[in-house]
Amino acid sequence: MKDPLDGNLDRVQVIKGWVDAAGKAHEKVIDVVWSDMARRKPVNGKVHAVGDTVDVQRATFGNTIGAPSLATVWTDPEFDPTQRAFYYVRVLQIPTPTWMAYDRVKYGLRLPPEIPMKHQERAYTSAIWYSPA
Amino acid sequence: MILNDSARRLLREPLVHFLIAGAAVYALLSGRPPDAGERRIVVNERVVSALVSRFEESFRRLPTKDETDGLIRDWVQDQVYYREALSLGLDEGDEVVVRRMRRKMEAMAVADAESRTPSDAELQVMLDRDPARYAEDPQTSFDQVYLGADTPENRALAQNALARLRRGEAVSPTPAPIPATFNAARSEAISTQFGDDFAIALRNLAPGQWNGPLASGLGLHLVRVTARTAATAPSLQKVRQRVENDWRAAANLRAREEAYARIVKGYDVVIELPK
Repeated sequence: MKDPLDGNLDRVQVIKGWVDAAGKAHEKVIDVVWSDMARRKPVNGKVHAVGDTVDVQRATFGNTIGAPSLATVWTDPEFDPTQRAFYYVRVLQIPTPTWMAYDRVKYGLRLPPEIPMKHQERAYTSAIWYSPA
Repeated sequence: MILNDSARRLLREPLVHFLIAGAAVYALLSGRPPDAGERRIVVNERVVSALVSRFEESFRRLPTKDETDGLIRDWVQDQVYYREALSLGLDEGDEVVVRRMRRKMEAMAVADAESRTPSDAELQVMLDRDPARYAEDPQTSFDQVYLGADTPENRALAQNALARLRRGEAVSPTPAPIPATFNAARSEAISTQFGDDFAIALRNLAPGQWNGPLASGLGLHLVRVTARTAATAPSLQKVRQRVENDWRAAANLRAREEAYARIVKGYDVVIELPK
């Protein structure tokens, strides 16, 4: 569920981490639910970008893309009961102006080009740890 | 004769004068302990009882003998460092010291206002001047059906759903973690959940009937207000503490400003701005 005053949600991702038999660490980011699922089909397991409504000149954005709330039930298709793993969830907002972009408009500043003017804010859950019984 | 001459010359030498004067001063001061004035630290009963009672305030018991010795040792260290630092001028230009001294002056200025208890009449005047400030937040009870994001399609569907609700039929909401019923919710809480625009629109709805769609920061909602308590005129008895806090804050501010005006009169303040 989004904040009523803030940008819509782009997608929810599950991040899974594990160590394989060779001792090598792996991490995998899985898109599990996203806005406008009917039109945004995943390609090679990745959902393409949600779009961008940010007007950098005025530091505004529109909630015409994304979703106010996202919900799903997800089961790990690669779950291996003998393997230790951790999972956590990450939620991405649609692109919004950065605080530097707001300041630039408010104070009429001229900023060097390396200052980011938009970004996708995100929220994280704490991790859950799976250990084989 | 020659010896006499050289002795006289010697007596005219400034260096000799200096040495004699120095020896005299040394003789005067030698044997005196270095306890004059600022260089004497006395730990008397008054100091110790102050230390003990401060300890008791913190720990709710009396200090042991060892602890008392420790307190005294620490107090002596404080004094030594403090006096030495002052004599080195370490307080000069120290922002923390400056601010602390200012706070002490201000605390002295507001001591009178702080200890006064305002009369009911005084508070009633304050309350009457701005009753809205102390009024209880109005509360609203309502049911809502969430219809998803604010899109043209959902707006079209909303009309249909509204008609069904008004006929008494059920409408299944778009799944979202928003309660279907709110009981005696304060407008602040409603704003937090739905945004300010929704809270204001809700205030203008007549109770008893399904209305909408109302747009919130989350999307579209059909809403039925079931009960509403108006903002009540506050009685002094109920909001006395809040009025008194405001009264005290105002009185303290006035006392501080008056004290400052009095002190600053004795100063010549020159502000030189760079051209």
